[in-house]
Amino acid sequence: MTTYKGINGFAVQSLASDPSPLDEGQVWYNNTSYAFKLAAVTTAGAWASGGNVNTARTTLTGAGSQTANLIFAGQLTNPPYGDQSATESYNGSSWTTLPASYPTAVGNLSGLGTQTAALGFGGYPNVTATNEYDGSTWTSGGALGTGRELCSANIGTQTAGLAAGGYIRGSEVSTTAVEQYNGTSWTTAPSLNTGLYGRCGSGTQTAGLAAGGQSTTTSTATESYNGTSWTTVTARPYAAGSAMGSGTQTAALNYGGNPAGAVTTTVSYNGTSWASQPSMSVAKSMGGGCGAGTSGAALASNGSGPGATEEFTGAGAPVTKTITTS
Amino acid sequence: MAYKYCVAENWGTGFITHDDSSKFQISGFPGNLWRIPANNQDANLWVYKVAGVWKTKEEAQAIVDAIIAQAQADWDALPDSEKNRQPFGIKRPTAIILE
Repeated sequence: MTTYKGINGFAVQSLASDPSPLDEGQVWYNNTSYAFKLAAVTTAGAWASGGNVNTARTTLTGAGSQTANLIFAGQLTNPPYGDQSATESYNGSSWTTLPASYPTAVGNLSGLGTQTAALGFGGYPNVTATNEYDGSTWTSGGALGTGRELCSANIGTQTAGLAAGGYIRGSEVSTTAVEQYNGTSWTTAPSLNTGLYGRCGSGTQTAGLAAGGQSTTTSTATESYNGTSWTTVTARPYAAGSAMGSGTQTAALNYGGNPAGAVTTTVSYNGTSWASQPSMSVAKSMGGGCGAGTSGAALASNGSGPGATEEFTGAGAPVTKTITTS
Repeated sequence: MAYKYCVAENWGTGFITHDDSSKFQISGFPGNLWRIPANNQDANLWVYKVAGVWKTKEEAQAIVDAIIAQAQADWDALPDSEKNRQPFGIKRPTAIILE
């Protein structure tokens, strides 16, 4: 009888847990789940469950990548919907509540950067405060010139960030105003073409992307930024404010958002056109995104949906498959 | 498309894998309710894996209706100052009609 060892010269390993990282073609037996498994390469993108956050909330923000993420502030998803300050970190498997809470309990704020160099700014109502996280503590940064909520998140870094659009209470304006951060202070930058709040950001301070958003209605408008001016580019295929995002100006992923209620929609952008991607399992809006992630490795954390974190893996990535007879 | 429903608690990582979601569409609703395609062996195996409890469509709709009704009552009891945070953040929950 032909055996695996006879073909490959070695036996299938028996492991208590799935190996990491995966090598394409690797086969093993998981003696905990009693299943033969294979490291295969995905032919299409797919979402999978991630770890459950410790404090379920909405209108939060975040920073970081799929396997090194950070979420902070927001509001509880259940009554009394109180503002929160908790900070949680993600290691690709589970969330841990950190001792350093965001300096204020606030919702509708924005964030960018990485798990160890994050920036939080703005919030309800007309918050100007900016806070910097270094991996262990939050400290105050320079204040926004114009206090607002729901600016774009995820554009740039802690020392070269961008706050695009947003909503200003009192005057009830969905603003076109943009400000840039240099690690110390915010200064005025060229304005967007369309005034919206809840735009989904990605990219850098000099190569940014702002997609969708909301004013009196939800929008598909997408604008590209080169550090000097904003250019209207191909509209996103779905209209929604407060979608979550990941990636760069020319390789971005947008997911979820709020056209009327939260949605599961996922789309990718290649710098020229948008393409549909597999939907999330649970509708999400106003959650933490994945500013330092990529279009092929993104994270959606909580939001207004009832589900937990979901992880997106794009085509061509190694994933574990269970070998079945079907 | 015909669907089936089950209730299962989402424990996090591993609950829905990339392998699962690349084989069939899993949709989540309030009340730990999950919708999967009917007549799909992989979907049935997933329900077994997550120790799901099957629900008829009517039972599933009742679960969602009860949660939405409670959430709407909670919303209605909020002070106007909280409601006035709209159109952002939290909105009054709306009914979900299962397919």
